[in-house]
Amino acid sequence: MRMNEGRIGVTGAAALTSAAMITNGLFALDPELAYSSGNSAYLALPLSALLSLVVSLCLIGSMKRSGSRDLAEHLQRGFGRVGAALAAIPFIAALLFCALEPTVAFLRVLHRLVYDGVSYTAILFFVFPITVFAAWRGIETLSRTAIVLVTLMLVSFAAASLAAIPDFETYRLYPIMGDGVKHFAYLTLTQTLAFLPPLSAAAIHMSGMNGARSAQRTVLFAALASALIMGLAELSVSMIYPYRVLAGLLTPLYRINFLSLSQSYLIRLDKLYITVWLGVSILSSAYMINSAARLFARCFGQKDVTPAAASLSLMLLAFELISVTGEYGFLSRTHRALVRFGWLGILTPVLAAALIRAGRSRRKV
Amino acid sequence: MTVFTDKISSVFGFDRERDGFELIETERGEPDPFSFRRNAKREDAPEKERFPRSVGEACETWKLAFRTDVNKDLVLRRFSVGGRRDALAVFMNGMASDEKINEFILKPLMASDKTDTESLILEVIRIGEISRSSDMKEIKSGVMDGLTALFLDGEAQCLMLETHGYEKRSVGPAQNEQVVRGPKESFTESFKTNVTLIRRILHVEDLVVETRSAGGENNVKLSLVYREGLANPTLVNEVKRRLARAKLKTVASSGITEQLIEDSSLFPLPQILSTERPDRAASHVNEGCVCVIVEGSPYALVMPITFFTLMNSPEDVYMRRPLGTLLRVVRYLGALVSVLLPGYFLALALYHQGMLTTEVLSTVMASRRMVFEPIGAEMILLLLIFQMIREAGLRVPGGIGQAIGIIGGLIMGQAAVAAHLASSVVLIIVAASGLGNFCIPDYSTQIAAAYFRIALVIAAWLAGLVGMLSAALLALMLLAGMKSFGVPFLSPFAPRTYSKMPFMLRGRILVNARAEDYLNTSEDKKAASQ
Amino acid sequence: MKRIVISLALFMLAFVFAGCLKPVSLDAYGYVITVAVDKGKEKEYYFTFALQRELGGENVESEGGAAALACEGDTIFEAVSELEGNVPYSLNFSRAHFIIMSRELAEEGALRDFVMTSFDSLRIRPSALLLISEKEAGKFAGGLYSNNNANITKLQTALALDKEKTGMISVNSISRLLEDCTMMTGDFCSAYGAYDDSIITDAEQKKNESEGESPLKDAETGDRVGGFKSEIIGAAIFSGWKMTGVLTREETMYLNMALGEFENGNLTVDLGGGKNATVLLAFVSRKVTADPFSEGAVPVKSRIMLAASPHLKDPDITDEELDRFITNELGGFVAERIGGVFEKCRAAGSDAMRFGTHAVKRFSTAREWEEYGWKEHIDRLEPVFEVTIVNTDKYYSEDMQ
Repeated sequence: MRMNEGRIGVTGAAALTSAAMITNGLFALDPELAYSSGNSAYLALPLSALLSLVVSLCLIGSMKRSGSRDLAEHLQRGFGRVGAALAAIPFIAALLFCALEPTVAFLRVLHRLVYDGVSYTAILFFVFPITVFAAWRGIETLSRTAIVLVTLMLVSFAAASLAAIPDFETYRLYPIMGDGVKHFAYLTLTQTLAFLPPLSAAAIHMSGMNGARSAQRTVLFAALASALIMGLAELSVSMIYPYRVLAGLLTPLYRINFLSLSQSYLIRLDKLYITVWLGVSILSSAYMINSAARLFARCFGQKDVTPAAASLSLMLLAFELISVTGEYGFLSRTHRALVRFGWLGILTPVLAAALIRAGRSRRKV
Repeated sequence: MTVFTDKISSVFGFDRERDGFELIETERGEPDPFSFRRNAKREDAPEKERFPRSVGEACETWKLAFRTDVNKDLVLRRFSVGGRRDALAVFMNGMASDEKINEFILKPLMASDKTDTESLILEVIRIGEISRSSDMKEIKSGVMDGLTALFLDGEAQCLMLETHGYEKRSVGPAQNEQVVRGPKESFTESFKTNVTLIRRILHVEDLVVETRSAGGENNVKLSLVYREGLANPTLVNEVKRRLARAKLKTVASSGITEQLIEDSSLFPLPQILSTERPDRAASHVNEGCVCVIVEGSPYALVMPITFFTLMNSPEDVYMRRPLGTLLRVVRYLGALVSVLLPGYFLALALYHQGMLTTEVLSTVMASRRMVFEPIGAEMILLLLIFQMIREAGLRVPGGIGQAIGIIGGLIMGQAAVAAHLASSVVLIIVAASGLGNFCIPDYSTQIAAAYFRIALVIAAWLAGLVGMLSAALLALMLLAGMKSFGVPFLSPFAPRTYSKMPFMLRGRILVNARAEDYLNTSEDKKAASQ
Repeated sequence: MKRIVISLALFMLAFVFAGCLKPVSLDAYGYVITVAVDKGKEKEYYFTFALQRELGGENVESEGGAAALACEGDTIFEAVSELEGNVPYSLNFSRAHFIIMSRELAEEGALRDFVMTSFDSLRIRPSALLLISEKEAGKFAGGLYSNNNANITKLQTALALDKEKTGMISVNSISRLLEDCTMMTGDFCSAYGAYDDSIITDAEQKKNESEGESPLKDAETGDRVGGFKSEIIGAAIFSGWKMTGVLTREETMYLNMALGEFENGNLTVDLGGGKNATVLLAFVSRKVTADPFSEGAVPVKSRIMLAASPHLKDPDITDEELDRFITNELGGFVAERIGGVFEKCRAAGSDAMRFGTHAVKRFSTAREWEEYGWKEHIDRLEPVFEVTIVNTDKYYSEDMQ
């Protein structure tokens, strides 16, 4: 008896989307970019999330008006089949980068701070199969697992922040927005690129989310919740470490309890917390791979998502190995290009929406 | 302003449209329901055996079929009704009640002055249940079940008379689901008694008991018990379809039936609740579940279930709410400790020593002095010994079984520490894990917890907390993806459903609603359409 | 079935590729609790590591405490390698929570190299407390262990808790040092200690008893009896990475008041004419403002409020007299003392009172703050300390009346 196969509710979808946004926002943040000339990340990240929300709501709204079932259909209506396939490629690349960046960040933390003398590859081979398995299982499993993991993540954030309260000092926030308006704007806009793919994944899976209205609710809830959580998490971190120290730290959230003088077991749960956050990151990566595979399959006329998911997973593994073994010259250049010009790729669905609307208006006339 | 606040609350509240949740919905194109009189696929049904034309022919048929020259259990009693009409009573010695046959069938029939069948049924035969049949397969099944088949000369059908009289166990207390407060009755091997026990609790007119063959050659019967106006018809049809698929040489118990019809028999956790308590089965039927009772088995099968159903004890609702809540919290903590503690300790001991306080580190180091085996092997060895002691305690009867638990626990543990086979700290960890295991109410789930525990210990040995995460995430995804007759296994937590009751804590007694909303019963559908 | 087999195969394959992640059983480590650094004779440094002994077990004697390992090395890694070759375990620094450095090295600025190179690699938590020892850090570390209590973690934690009770100790961690040296919003101060061999410890008393002697056999009048041989005698103040001065215990108390880190303490004051009173003080609030943009001097205003409760007084002193003193004069007394401590810190080139953390609030960008160079303006600071003391006993007694 098949009951709602491949369909998920708003809570599960929002949990999945917010997991992806939070891991990309908090753990994949470039510390040098964010903190080297001041600290406004606790304002920039929530603002980026809200900006991404606006763009994704426009996208889903246009899809609703055009009657598209999902993003692939929307691109096809706007650009035709060949155009849609070409337009999907930067989107898929963006999704893969959103899967790659948090994983690499966690691998670095685990290699340098958690495990002694263990290679990146060894740790990766404990993380990667689970990512593949999750991507392969599909969004039903992903969304339900996300509900559990996001709950655990929130509990761990709360516990870590509460334990760190005695060490909070407001002077560490000063100068407030010390990096200047220009840098703040730059950080906000570049971070939007990190949040748009997770939000747009809701558009890719729109048919599985019971329609446009549910998808809109999903992105709204996910973006608002993520903005709040990221803002609070960054604020906590900013009151523990000043900006100069933050610029040199890997994953500062992991070290939020490092200043506590207490030797109690409850204060030293940082490795447990990072394990939970790693779990959320694995889930987020799997969601990105699954979304990319689905978009690929739909745009390139494949019925089964599994081969695309398998191929993209292997591609991701290759990228991860390249990143961690140091041979990441071309990857970092690609990433920089994506950050600067990725807007073009991300905006194609919005362009598609405009084309569709224009086409419809002409027909009416 | 009110419109604005309404909008905000509608986004974040539960009053959302049904497509915002995952619920069971009626499938289009429902399968052909399985019926008692046919096999699942009509084309596979064997040819019907010819009904004997006379009493003599019937006698010969039965002698051949049951090999009465060697099989003395079958009794073929020819007699004459009122001295004028030939008749044959067929019954199984030991299964049918001699008293009922002699006093209420043979005696009045022999003394009767009427010979027509209708008069005999209405005025002479003093048996409560009488049915007619011309299907020889059905008649044979009935005789083997304890009915008496009465063949009357010249009649195209035989009369099936209810004369069950076999020995059966009386209703006693539950062995594995004991409660302090609540009914103490449990199911027995008698199929009729079990149905009666449920009917005593559910005095509702729409309670349906559909009886059919369990699918084996041994013709054991089973019943589907559900509420016609409540249970989702798709669910009922699905249960029937899966039962129809089951074809075995022998269906000996509900355990076998359970494995045949559940979604995945390889998954450690059961997807069907197996209970020996009638009150528990009845409460689930009253929520919209389907209950299957198999003859010869003192366990009833309830489906669909969720993970939280397995963790609930029947006692929770009989206690007051704060007490029930506390019991549940302790139970979940116990289950978590049972599954996670050994692996977690191992991960900390091997990879993340900085998380332990200096006192714990020093104490563990001192306790492990002269222990020759690695801490991972020590942990696994002690877990295995614990399982062995548990099994030995179950298999050995009576007081000796209890003594084994004490001997194993105290003396062996102490001896192992003295002989430097194990350290006291690891022994305590394993003991705590074992105690937590016994907090899990369902026996199958207790055993399943051992799987997860060992897997997590091995994963922790290999890679510390990251290894544990990988294993735990794998298990969680399997749990999240698992369904029990279409209901996601982690409902109502993941996916979130309409439920206004807490999924873990003991909620208030609902006056006007049912607790298990994910079943999408006929009542829910009516409410949604209004 | 196929899916499960593939899942399991994938999982097991990963383990085959990955292997174990180098597990090391916890009993294969020695846990370093204290790291003491002295100047070496033949090499750069002389490191002393105090390890927690095993607790409990069948074969361990009731004496507990620490086991010490010491070795010279140009870096801590060299010393660790040398020692690990001679002991049947590896050294684990994840529980290290005391770093003790000799005054000599601290004044040379050796902390910079030590902290920057070793902490992350050795997994020393930045919450490790820093102490400066007057003489040999190794001896000071040894003096912290009492043989009557095997759990040296608790002994050392008690030292830190002393700050809450007396306010005469400065307890700061390595992370504070890093922050101060990186951000230049203030200067570091740490506990400053000395080793006194004449102190009769609990273990020595026990030993004397076991030999049939009086426990205080070797004690002389005036000697402290019981407790550690090592004691905290004040605070070491820094300018950047270098130690530049020392404060006494009383001066440390005033420093803590100015920093807002004072919680409780007591003060014995002379009311004149040889009449003394002891007053219990508790911190209430502190507010500091600084204006770095003013021409000429940089005005800093520090308003401190303390609650006072008379504890002991000479019989000649009346309650009214004491109350008058507490309300009208004690505040000025404390303010004067705080001012004296500030001047001492300024003379040492140290912003130990961390007025920079208040000045930074007036800047709008990080670049402006960094270009301002707060440390260069310490000589221009003109602090005004206003201390208000509230006599809590008076209010309680009035309420009761």
